[in-house]
Amino acid sequence: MITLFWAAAVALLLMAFACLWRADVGPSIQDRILAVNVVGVKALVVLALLGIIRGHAFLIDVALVYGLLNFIITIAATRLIETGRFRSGASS
Amino acid sequence: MRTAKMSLALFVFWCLVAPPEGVTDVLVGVLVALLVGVWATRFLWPPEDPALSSLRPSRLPRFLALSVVRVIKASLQVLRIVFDPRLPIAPEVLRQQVHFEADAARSTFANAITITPGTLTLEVEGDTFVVHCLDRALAEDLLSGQLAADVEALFGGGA
Amino acid sequence: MSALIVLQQALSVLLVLAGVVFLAGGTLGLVRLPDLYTRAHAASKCDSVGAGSILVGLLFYQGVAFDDLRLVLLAFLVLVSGPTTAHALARAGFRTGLPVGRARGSDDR
Repeated sequence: MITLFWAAAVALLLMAFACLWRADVGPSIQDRILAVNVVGVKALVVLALLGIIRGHAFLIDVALVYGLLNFIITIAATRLIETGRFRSGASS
Repeated sequence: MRTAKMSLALFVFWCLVAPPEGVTDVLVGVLVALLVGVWATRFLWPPEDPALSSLRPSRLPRFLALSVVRVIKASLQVLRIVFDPRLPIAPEVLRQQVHFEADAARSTFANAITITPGTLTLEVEGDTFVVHCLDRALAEDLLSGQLAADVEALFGGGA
Repeated sequence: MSALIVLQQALSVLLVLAGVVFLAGGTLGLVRLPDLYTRAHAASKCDSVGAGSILVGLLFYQGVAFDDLRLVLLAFLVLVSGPTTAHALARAGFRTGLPVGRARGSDDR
């Protein structure tokens, strides 16, 4: 069981590197943000897996905060490239 | 009033995420919930209340279950496309006219489109939804109007 | 009693494996698909379902306790944020005038 979780975590890490390739080449800036966001989701899952493997409940909290930050960063970066600034009263 | 509601919701969230052990934890929780509540209502949200009032809570479980089924179907479809060496897609942009009374219904519909197999909302201009689909043949839930009917049922039929 | 535990563990293994397959699909889609919009399809659907599936699998492995509410919250967060970010990115691409690819080729650079 634990072995399976380890294998899953390692597989996810390998996939994260594949996503990093897309973040490197990805023609548009949106592609890069998308790729980084996907890496973040995978890191979140790896953190949760590690929390179960090691029996550290606090890693789940770390994963939760990581997920929230990942989401907010992506939205903020999107807003930035869309309007040129973070605070915009009348965007959609 | 909104600040009080917000703070209460935040405190409940605090209790769920970090079950308090002892008086200190509860006090810290109350303090943080109040501070964040005041800050969020003053700086984060637009002054008017989002119109959630027309939502029918009794129909929420069915809608959520439908959404989960749809998102799983959508992923299976994407998996089939991605693992196919020929990459069988014919991307296309569609425009769909649907009218909803409430803003909440409109954004729910936009998100539901994104969840549905083969479709992704690009832009909402009034009642026009600009939708990107992987393949016209795959977007049957949207084109048949099934999705709009589901969202309308959830918000009490404001068509 | 033990049969229940075996069932629980089997379900957990199944869900984690399915999640890995879904995440692999999302990654492959991100690498292979031709333009931003199609990649956003792959990222939003496969990734949120895959991550959610793994997290629910971990929930089954642990057994249900009050402490595990955090795992449920995490799964919910992933399921909600995935499509939202994909939509935000696709909208940004649409507004800045990124062309929608029609070609069936695999590389449009």
